Amino acid sequence: MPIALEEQKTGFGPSFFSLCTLHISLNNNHVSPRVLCIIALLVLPATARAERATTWSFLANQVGPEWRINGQARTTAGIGGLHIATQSEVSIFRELNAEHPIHGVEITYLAPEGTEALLLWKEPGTPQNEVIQMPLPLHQALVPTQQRISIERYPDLSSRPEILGLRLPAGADVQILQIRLVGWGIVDRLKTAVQSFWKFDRMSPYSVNFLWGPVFAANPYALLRLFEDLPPQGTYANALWYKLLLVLVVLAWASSKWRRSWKIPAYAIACTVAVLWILSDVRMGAEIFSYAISDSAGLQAEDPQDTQFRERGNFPAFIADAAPLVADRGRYVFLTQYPYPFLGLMRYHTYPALPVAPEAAAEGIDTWVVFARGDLGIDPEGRLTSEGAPITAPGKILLDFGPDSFVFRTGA
Amino acid sequence: MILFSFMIGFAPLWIIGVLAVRAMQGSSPVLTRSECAVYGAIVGPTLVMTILFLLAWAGMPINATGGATALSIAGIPLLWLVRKHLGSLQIKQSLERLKGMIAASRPTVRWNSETLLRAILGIWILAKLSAGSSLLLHDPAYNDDVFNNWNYRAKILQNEQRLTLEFPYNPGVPAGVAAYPPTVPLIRAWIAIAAGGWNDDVIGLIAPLSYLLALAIIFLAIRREAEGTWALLGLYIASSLPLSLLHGITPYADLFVALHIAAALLPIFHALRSTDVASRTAWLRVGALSAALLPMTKNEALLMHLPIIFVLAAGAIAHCAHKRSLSGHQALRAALWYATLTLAVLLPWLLYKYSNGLAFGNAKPIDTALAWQEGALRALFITWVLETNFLLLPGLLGALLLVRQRAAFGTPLLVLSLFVLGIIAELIGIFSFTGLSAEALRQTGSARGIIQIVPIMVILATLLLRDWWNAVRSS
Repeated sequence: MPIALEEQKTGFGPSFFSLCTLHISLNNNHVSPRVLCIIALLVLPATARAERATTWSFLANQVGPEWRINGQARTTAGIGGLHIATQSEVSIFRELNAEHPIHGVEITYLAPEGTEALLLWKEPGTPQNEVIQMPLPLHQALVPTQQRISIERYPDLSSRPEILGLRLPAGADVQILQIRLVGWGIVDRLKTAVQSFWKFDRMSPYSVNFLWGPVFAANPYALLRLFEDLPPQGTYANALWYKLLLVLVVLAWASSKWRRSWKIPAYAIACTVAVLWILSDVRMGAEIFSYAISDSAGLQAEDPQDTQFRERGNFPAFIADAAPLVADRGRYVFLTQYPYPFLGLMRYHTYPALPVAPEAAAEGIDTWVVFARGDLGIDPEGRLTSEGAPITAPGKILLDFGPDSFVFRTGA
Repeated sequence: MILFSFMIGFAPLWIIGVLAVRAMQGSSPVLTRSECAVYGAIVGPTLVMTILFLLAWAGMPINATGGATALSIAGIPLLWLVRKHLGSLQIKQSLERLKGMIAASRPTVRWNSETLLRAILGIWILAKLSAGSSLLLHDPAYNDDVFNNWNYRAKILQNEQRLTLEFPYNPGVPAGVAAYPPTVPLIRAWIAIAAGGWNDDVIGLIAPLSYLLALAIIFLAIRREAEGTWALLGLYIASSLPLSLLHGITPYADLFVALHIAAALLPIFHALRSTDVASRTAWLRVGALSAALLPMTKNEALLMHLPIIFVLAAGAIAHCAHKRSLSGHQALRAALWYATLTLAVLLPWLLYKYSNGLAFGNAKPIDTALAWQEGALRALFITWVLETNFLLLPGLLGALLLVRQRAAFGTPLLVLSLFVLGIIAELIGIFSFTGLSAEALRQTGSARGIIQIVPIMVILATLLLRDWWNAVRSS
């Protein structure tokens, strides 16, 4: 069966509007920077401007002979795509002769459970066994879902691989609907740069130590994960501003030699610095506002269990309810899946009552504070259990804060 | 209500600070009222807490009685000194003048471009600070150093009412935090005691107050040297630095150190700019007081900042003596002020440190094994220059230091220039050659080193910018 190979071209062409603008500007008998920009856009090859994509669809049994598979797996080409259930680690790949550069790969898939897949990429001219593997986590997806990866995250890679494919671990169960290989042009990149400048990071514990600030993502896929994968992949805005200012200083210096005056070049530099400074200030000020808005939105929920405070979820709401229950206990056992930062926060907010390790329970401690521990529960006899085994005497739940968080007291 | 609760504890410290600054000026006041208020708010809390620390070490409890005793020990002699220098007549005159000023300051707003600029700037700063304050109020103890160190130690001091180096049940608490000077936690404990109990929102106000004081000292220092527009520009530059704002809403101690550095260094600069001997010596005495209190802020202030400030103060005094703008006797007296006040604070603190085996590093001990640390320099460049922590300030200041060398190194601005370059050299040295490079690579401490000198950097950049601008206009 042949693989459906279609190439899409999207993006800007020389529009009627830009041609009109050109005509009007030329009639004024001078060549303005605006005209130069338009000419530059027109003379650029269309491929440099447009997004170009190659789509390999696996829908309706479309799996061609160029695909190869290594490893043990049950593969089924069906109407809904290529279904792969692996018994061992499996690689599925094919050779390609890409007609356009490939800057990003998008996979549309279904997966009843998440799996840690790898994207396989072989550079042209490299030894046969030298295949680069890039992490491509395929999260649980019960409806068709896209996972995208920016190849430009790896600056040493060319944009024209010889072989491309996927590696799946043993036990993976994935249905691939489509693989899309995308190359972007200048217009897409400019648009992405503007969007990424205004994309904000979240308030995090590291924000008091440093702020990433605006980062120009290389392409739309990199933009999607700009502050998800750290450090963010892209160009710091400041790096660009400094380069711009350096060029301006050189031009100003040259201009001052020619005009024999520093005044106008100096004003130009001062104005540029001022504009960039204010722009950066507005951008970072907006980020601070976004933190405040995000905090307020997360804390709006009526039920404290549904509140969402930064990366700590509903822990602040939990602690507000739990702290009064341990205030008179002196010491209490605190159990959580995430000792950092919750242990320190618990200790701070309940001081002078102190959280202790469960081993200290034998010293007469009767109160157990449990946060985000799904393996703990209460058995029918009213005892606290860990993976089904009782670990305390019978007692009572004092605070029920969702399925895996509660305050329990023995003998109550 | 939160502000009122905060002021119950803070106001007495502030008054002591104003009295101390006023007393140090002697019979020749050189600081304006605004400067007195700002310098007083910086040195007052540290001065009182240094006394409270000594009292607590001697066995007095850290509670309302202990605090009131410390306030009295500081306040009574200072009040006597101020009265002695000013005389009651002058105090009355000052009050009359104040009444006149209040009467004259009835709102007569005339809208011109500068007023509009001020209004826009004020609204923008307030808007950002309000957004930031809402973050602060959502969880004042959000950050690690708040709930594992500063506020936690303050809670322990308030609860146990004595100096303690023990951290009950301390997983996650860095071993070295007990070696920090107790001033910052003591101030917070005192505010809690005065407010009638611990309240995170009340204690959290320390951060915006420090931020506003930093903006104020920058504005006032530039205003003393240049026209109001330049002071406003400096204020804008300082308020636009995102990481400074983050520290203005996080109850850490780096802005606190920054304020003390500014209060110790700027008087040396102002002394060199003074035109008469009385002003010069008054500024140096104010500087001596602030410098003496600097080691009580954080450990790095003792090891990194104080030595450079001492060298600069000694250089400034020697320069004045050489130029005969201070007599030999006056120069010696100025040097003695520095030596006496610093020893008075430092000796007990060092004794306490040695007697308890406390380290001189911060959370991590000082690493004396020197080796080149791969990647640290690049990490510093990214944190300081490429990320937007300080917008374009590092680049702007670097460029100005290059193109305005004569102003930067041939005028009293030399004090500020050498300090900034000296600290940056120290930071580069520490992060590039010691195990503390991990702090640079993980970006956990390197930007905070700059936060501590941001007020000086902003003042220096603004004054050099003004110098450059005037040169361009007259070319």
